[in-house]
Amino acid sequence: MKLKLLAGLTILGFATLVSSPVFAATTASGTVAVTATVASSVSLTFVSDPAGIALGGTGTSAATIAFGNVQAYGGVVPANVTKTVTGVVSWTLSTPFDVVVEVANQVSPSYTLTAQLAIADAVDTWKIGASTITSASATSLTAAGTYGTTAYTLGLTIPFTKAAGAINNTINFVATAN
Amino acid sequence: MKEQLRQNRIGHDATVLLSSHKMPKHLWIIAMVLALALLSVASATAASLTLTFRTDPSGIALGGSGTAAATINFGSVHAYGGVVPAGVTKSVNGTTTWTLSTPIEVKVTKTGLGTSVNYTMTAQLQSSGLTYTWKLGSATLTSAFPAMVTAAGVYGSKTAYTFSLTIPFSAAAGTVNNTLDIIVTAN
Repeated sequence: MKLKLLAGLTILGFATLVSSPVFAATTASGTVAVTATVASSVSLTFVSDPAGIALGGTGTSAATIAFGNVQAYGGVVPANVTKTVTGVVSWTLSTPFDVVVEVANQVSPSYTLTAQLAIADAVDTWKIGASTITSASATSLTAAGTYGTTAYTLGLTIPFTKAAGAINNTINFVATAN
Repeated sequence: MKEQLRQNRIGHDATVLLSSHKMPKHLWIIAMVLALALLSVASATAASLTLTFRTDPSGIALGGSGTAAATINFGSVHAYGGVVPAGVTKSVNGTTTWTLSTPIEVKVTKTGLGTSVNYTMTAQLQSSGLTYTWKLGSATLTSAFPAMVTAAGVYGSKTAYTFSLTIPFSAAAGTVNNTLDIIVTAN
């Protein structure tokens, strides 16, 4: 009986020794809870077309086109700009540029794209592709654009009757996921 | 007094008086084992690690900064446009994925672990988040098993680890929630 008690105590001692934290790894734990609300979004950027004028701010959503000093007859036509003289009525400068539209976190097969002049211009004619752009309302350029890169041609028609001087305007584009 | 007593000092605190004549040999062994066990328990109680998360000067403001239970709330975020929270970097990877990343500070201190020179840190997601890619430092996290973040963390220093969440363009809009379980172990 005494021996059994001693044996029990010994086993208990060993068990306590072996199971003690000295033989276990010392650890600490913590948590970092993360929350984000992902919203769908559409990207619209302008990129210089290989066959078009070099855009200022290419690859951004705020591009610029500077035709420089141009004239109906003679003068220098910027690289990748086409000048067309229409009889003795008007002349037109045109150049392609790329519109890149991408969508994220939304199932969308296509997009609509509209354009509108920022400032009214009753004298010159502004076109994107075949669509005439005014400041009165947004003009639809496409109702089912394919995501990715699409080339559009900007056309600026200047009447012969217009006085020489600077022409400035801004075209506001809006792409909306369908 | 015939009984000869020997004083045997064990460790720093325990003093055991042993009788060399009356105490049988096996009782000595038992006594030693029990004493060692008691000592080991007593000394181990004092050994501990403390893990806290803090807002990094260049990172997003953590909820619960200075505690072991921090929160990161990115708010409403967009791949294109929108507002990126202060201390968060957004990068758009082509038309495939986009990533939010921010540094967080981790501080680990030790008590009673004189021989431990550094620590390992692992992290694991509580919920499966296969749609997204979760990273802490260079370790990609899953819920399947703990990923090694560092094998030799430095005690006492505020170490910045960059947390990143990569979201595929193909993922539906909505709320992303998960929790990182982080464990540090003394080496």
